[in-house]
Order: sequence, then structure tokens, then C-alpha cells
Amino acid sequence: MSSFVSIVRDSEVPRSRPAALVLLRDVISTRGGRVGAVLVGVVLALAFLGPLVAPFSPTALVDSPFSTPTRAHLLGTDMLGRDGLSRFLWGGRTLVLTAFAATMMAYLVGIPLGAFAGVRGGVLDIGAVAFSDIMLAIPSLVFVLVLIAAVGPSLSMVAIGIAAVELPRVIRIFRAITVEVAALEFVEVARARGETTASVVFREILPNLWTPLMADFGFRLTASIVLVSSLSYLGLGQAPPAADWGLMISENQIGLTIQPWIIVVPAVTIAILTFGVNLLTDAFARRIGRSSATPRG
Amino acid sequence: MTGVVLDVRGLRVEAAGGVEIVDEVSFAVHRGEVFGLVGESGSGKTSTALALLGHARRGTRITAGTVEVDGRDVLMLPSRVLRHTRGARIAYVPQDATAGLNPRHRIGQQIEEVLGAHGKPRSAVAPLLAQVHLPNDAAFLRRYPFELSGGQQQRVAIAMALSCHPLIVVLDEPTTGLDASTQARILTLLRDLGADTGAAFVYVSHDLAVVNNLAHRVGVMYAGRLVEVGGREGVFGNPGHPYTSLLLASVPRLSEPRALTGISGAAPPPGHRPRGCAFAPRCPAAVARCAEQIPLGVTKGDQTARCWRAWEFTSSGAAARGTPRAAAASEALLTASGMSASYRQPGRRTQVLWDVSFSVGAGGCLAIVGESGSGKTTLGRCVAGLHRPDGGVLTLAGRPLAPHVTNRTSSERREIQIVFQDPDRSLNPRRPISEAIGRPLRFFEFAQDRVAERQQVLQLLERVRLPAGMLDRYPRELSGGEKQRVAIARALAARPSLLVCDEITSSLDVSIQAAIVAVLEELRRDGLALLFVTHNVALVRGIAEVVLVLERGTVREYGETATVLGRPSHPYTQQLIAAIPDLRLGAGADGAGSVRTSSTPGRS
Repeated sequence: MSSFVSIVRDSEVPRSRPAALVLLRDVISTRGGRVGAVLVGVVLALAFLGPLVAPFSPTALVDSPFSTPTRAHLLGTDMLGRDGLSRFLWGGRTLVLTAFAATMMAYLVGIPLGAFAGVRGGVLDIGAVAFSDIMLAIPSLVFVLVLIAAVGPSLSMVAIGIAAVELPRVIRIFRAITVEVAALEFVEVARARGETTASVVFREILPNLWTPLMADFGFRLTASIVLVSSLSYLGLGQAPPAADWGLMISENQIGLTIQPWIIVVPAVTIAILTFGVNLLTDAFARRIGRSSATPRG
Repeated sequence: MTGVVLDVRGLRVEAAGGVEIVDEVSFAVHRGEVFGLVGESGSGKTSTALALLGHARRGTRITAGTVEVDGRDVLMLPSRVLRHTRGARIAYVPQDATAGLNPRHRIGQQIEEVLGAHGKPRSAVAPLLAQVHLPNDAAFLRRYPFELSGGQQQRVAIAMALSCHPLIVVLDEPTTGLDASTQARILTLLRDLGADTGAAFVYVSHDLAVVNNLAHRVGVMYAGRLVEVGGREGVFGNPGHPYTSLLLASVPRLSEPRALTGISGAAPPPGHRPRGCAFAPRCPAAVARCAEQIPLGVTKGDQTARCWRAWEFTSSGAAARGTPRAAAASEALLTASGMSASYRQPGRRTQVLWDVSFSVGAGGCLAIVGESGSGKTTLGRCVAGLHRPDGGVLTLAGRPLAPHVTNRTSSERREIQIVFQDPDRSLNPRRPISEAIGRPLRFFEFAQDRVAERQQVLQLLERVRLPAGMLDRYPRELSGGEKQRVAIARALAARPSLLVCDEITSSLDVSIQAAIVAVLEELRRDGLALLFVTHNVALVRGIAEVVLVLERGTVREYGETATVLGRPSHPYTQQLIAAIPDLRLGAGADGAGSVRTSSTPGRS
């Protein structure tokens, strides 16, 4: 009697590509996303491929201090007479890597903590939120400065310090999203089956945090880049004579009026990087907002 | 019927990139007539309704056709004239009345504003409200929209639409989201208004029974095209298009319990519609040329169907049959006695269930029916252990059952499974179908390894009539009905003895609903017991042998379905049943008072 019970033929089922690829393609197809991707790509290429093409060693003395740009030294020289271009090409890698490592550490600790707090509730939740609120009350730069003053400056301390500053924000954001996801019925189904909290978090919640993560990543990374460069400007990041964009700005500032290139170029590059990351993030956020608000019916 | 007041010809609405949403829609509406425009979700009925006012939704454009209102094409009018035409000659009532009313303005103020915009005196407010059976005293006029019930808000929206004596009122699903009894009162009102004001109504709805009770003429839409149009008796009594016949066979009827047939597959969305007839891939009567082109129309009397095989196909599935046989009144699988439950908010406790008792036999089906707010969902959640009741005892196969899942044993948790209303919320969007169904198999150790698991997942897909190709898909790649089948398959993976179905067909189109019900019936034959929670009383008739009627948390009636629905003894049940529009012919627009309801003006 139920002869018309639906049997959908295979060919009729619409197939779509993995969500992440589709998302990426959509983001690149917007103007903001495209410009952002190009800017970020150029700066990352400079930072990672720069050392391979640098004409001189970043620490070799090649000319008199603060010489203006010449054909041999396109960005002139710095306060010790080292080649500006070579130092610039060498100086991005640590900055980007440190910022990236700090952001990743904050996510690795913050997302599971936020997700567990959101699913579990109770003491864990209250504790996580209280910790975040206290941390958020302390100015970021002051916190990292005090931490480094206490432990001593090193690149890994900078990364840990910045991760600690980002952590409360990550916890709060991902806890809030988790609470929303946990109210959905597939989470209820999993709990009714008797799944453990860890299983609920890892199987049901975490996969749903991917999209918000992509939107949040840019903000976190930008904040980290700014903090890392501020710290190296203050002399708390890489120790001289290593080449570093932040350090280049601070060590050459007495020569600003004679040889501005050695300062302006790294400063503008950092600005371009953060600007590009923000454009890309905006494109992600807009795309995600649109897909969730797609009208039905 | 004198004179055509609305004449639509060759209407086409496109989305960006020339994707057709609506195409080749032509129909006419006569003075004082109710024209019902029916279709399932995505059929383009709302886009058509808006086009009648010369409006296209954001991202869409009207690219061809004419819409003549009283002889003038609204699509050609300059925007200033069009603005005046809207309201004065053709008015619109949206589905969601709250969306049409400004929440910060008083009711009286809002109606006056509409009148003012068309140069009408303020004194017209009172008679207008009287016309829609609303109080018109100063106190009522000073109320804000949120101080009105859903039915009252919809009446205000209708009053505003009628304020300038338009020739045509377009109503887009005006009773969807309202309770059956409220809906019945609004329908009675609309029919009276049609007779009193002489305005023509274009009534857009997915609900065939409602349209049957209201319309003089009916247009059936499928995949953006009007596939059949004609008089109500003709379209509903002797449909020409196979889609219409199958759609009618999908609607549960209170008057005659029978097997619902449903329609295989799903309607193609805009941009994926085939050349030729869009229904051909699902049509049991399709022939080769259906895939090539569609006839302009095959006419029979006042009825036109756009099908090469019009009137050649009749749905055979609608075999009459008795109420589902009562399961051998053997031992009770689940019993509930004296259940009470409430929701707690800080400083407030709202009781939703009082002293509810029932039992479900092994392999039996108990339907819990009630209007919104009756506590039926809470009752289902208590059984599933998702809501902790305040009191009462649950037993499963004779053994007492802990009130909350966390305190139940693994096998108790396994034996009672729940399926929710909205599959978009109940399936993890980031997990493939194989994982959604496979996880319970692994969790309850039914599958020892991946190979066995995959095998069993395939069997489960087969049981809910889904193709094996679904295995590696994600929920977003599936249609609503398919997702709901996956949710059922996931519940079945736990090998339950009782399935709690919480409004599982409410968000689905009727043809899909019928197919899901057919799946449930097969499962019942395999010995699965169901607790079927629904607001759809007509649907219960064909599914459950026992029914429990809830009103505001209290049991009003409990007994065999045929008895309770056939000869209801409690006034509430009588009222509930009377409010259901039926698809029976003869219960139509011309037969006065066919929506059998005690119409109490004012409060709705």
C-alpha cells in the first residue's frame, strides 16, 4: 500500500563540496576578502621567503651608519651600518611565528576550557568566567611586561605572555557559543544516550566551533601581532643583534630624520599585515552571518 | 460572479542570475470570489502573492507578465501611483501578524495611520474593528500589539487591509501558526467578510483542507508553476494533474481513516528544475514527452491542468481502511501515573502538567494531542527522561523508571528513544549521516567493527527508505523530510522498544509527512511502540489506536481513537475536532457554516 514511499534516486541527491573549501572560495570572491588575502599573502611571503633572497647577512656591517638608500642598499643602512633591506627581509619571520604561536596556545587551552565550561556549567563554569573577568581587568601590555620582568625576557615568554592575555577572551567567546550549541537537540540526544561530557564536547560541540573560530582567528592574530611588535619595540622580544621589525623601529629611531626608510618600511609592513588580516576576517564574518541568515521556503 | 478584478498573465519572477522562482503563472479572480493558491514550501506561492502587489522580495525581480487589477497593470504603474493602489485597490495580510504591526504603537494609532494615508476619517476605526469582531472601545484601541492574542493581532491586520475597501485582499498563510480553534474563527470571519464587503480574496496556503473550506476557485502551484486551476469541487473532487491527486491523497482526513500515500522524492528547488514538467521525475504517470515540454493546459469544464496525461491518472493509494488495530491488549510497555511537571525560572514556577496517567502497550501507539501550551511536549520529554517531573511514577516493562536519563540504566536509556520536531536542530550539522547513525551502534556495542557498523547503518537507512548514497552526506545536503528520516534511523539504531515522536511531521509538507507516517507504520509492524505527540488531530486518526487529549496540562479524554475522535464526550475534545477543517467535499465555501465552530466573536 505504501507504494509511493520515497526512495530518492542517488543522482537526485545534491552534492556539495566540503564546507571549509566553499567558505574559502566565497570569502576570496568578495572584494574585501580578495584584497585582504593578497595583502596577507605578500607580507607572509616577505617574512618567510625574505631570508632566502636577502642580499647580505643581517648582522654584517656594510656601509656607514644611516646611509640613505643606494642601488647597492635599497633601504640604506641602520644605526650600525648594516644593510637595511637584508634586516627587513630577515625581521618578519620571528614576529609572525611568535604571534601565531601565541594565538594557537590561547586557542588550544581556551577552546576546550570554554567548551567544557559551557557544557558542564556549575563550578567549572563559574570558575572559568571569574578567571576571565579578572584577567580582562588587567591591561594586556602591563600584564606581559610584569610577567617578563619577573621571569626574564625571552621569545617563548613573550609568546606565553601574549597567549595568557588572549586566553580569557577566547574562553568567553567560545563558552558563549558552546552554550548556544549545547541547547540544540542533537546535544540532548547525545546526553540522553549517556555520552560523557568529554564525548559531548569533542564529538558534538567542537566540530561546530570551526566557523566561529575562522571568524575569530583574525582578531586574535592581529592583537598578537601588535603586542609582539610593541614588546620587541620595548626591547623585550628578540635580543639584538637579531633582525626584527619591531626592534628595527626602536633601535633606529634616533636616525628618523636622516634615514626614515629603515623605520617606515617595517612599520608600514606591520600595518599592512594587520589591515589585511582584518579585511579577511571581516569577509569571513560576513559570509558566516549571511549563511546563517539565509531565508528559507 | 461578475467581472474579473484580478487578471494575472504569464507572470515570471527571477532571482539573481536569471534563476526562475515563478514562471508562466496565469489566473483570474472574479469580484467577491475567494481564490485559494495552494502549494508546498518552495513552490513560489508567496513570490506570486507579492507580485500581485507589484512587489518582489529582495534579490528577486518580476521579469515578465502582467498583473491587471481592475483593468490596470500594476507592474507598469509609476511607483507613486502603485503606492496608492496598494491598500486602496489591493491589500496584503502577511503570515506573521506581529511582523505587520509596529510593537511600539497602539492599535488605534496604527489603524488611524492607515486610514489617514488614504484620506479616510478617523471615525472609520470603530466600524472597521466591529467588522472583524474585535472590541472597539477606547481601552482596546489603547492596547499595544503584544497585549493582543495571535488571533486578535491577525484580526487587526485584516481590519487594516480592509480599511480602504480594496477590491482584492491577498492573504499569505494568515492562519499558519494559530491554533486550530483560532484558525477556524478567522476562517469564518473571512468567509463572512467576503460576503459582506464584496472584496475578492486571494488566499495563499499550504493547507488544502483550509482552502477547501474557504475557496470558490483553487490554483495549485508546483515548482514555480501553476499546474492546475479551476473550481474547488473540480480540483479537489476530480483533480486533473497527478500532483494534485497525490497531494490530496497525502492529507490526513479525520472523517475517513486511511493509509496516506505521500509522494516520492522532493520538489526541485529553483535553479535545479528540469526542462519540461518539473513534477515528471516524481510522477508515476510520466511519459517521455513530459521531460520535453509542458502543455499550455488541458481544459475540462472550468478546470485547466498543465499535464499531458491530465485526468488519466487517479491516485490508487487512498484505500479506505479501519482504525489501526489495537495491539493485543497484552502487557503494558510503559505506564505513567499521576505525572505532574513544571518549569522553574528564578522566582517563578509554572506548572504545565497535572496528574497525567496513561499506558502504552508493547507495539502499541498512543497519540498525545493538544493545542500549543497544552504540555504535550513536556509529557514526551518526561517519558524520555529529559525533563524531571515533579511527581508521578513511570514504569518500563513493569520496572520503575528513574525520572531523569542520568539516573537510568544504559538499557533503559536505549529502550526509549526520542525524535524531535526540527531535524535542523536535532542533527549535528558537522557530522555525516554515517556518523549520526553509527555512533549509537558503537555506543551500545551493537557493532564491533567499522565494517559491521557500516552494514548496520545501511540497513537502518533502508528501513527509513533512504538510499545508501546518503551515507557520507551531511545534513545540509538533505531535504527536510530526508533529515527527519535520518533522525528516525538514529533513534532506531539504539534498538528501542518505544519511540517518542515529538511533532516529528509538523515542519514538513503534507506529501513528505505522509511518507514519514508510512515509515512509522512499517516500524510498528516490526513491533515498535510509539508515543506520538502532535497538534494534528486528523493525522492521529490513521496512526494511533489510543489517544490522550491534553488541555492546559490536564487529561480531558483518554481512550480508543475511534471512540474519542468519533464520539467525543468532553466539550474540549468536541471543540478541538469541530475546529479542524476537513477535505471532504460538500463541506465547502458555498455550504454555509461548514467550519463547524461555535464562533465566539471578540476573543480569539
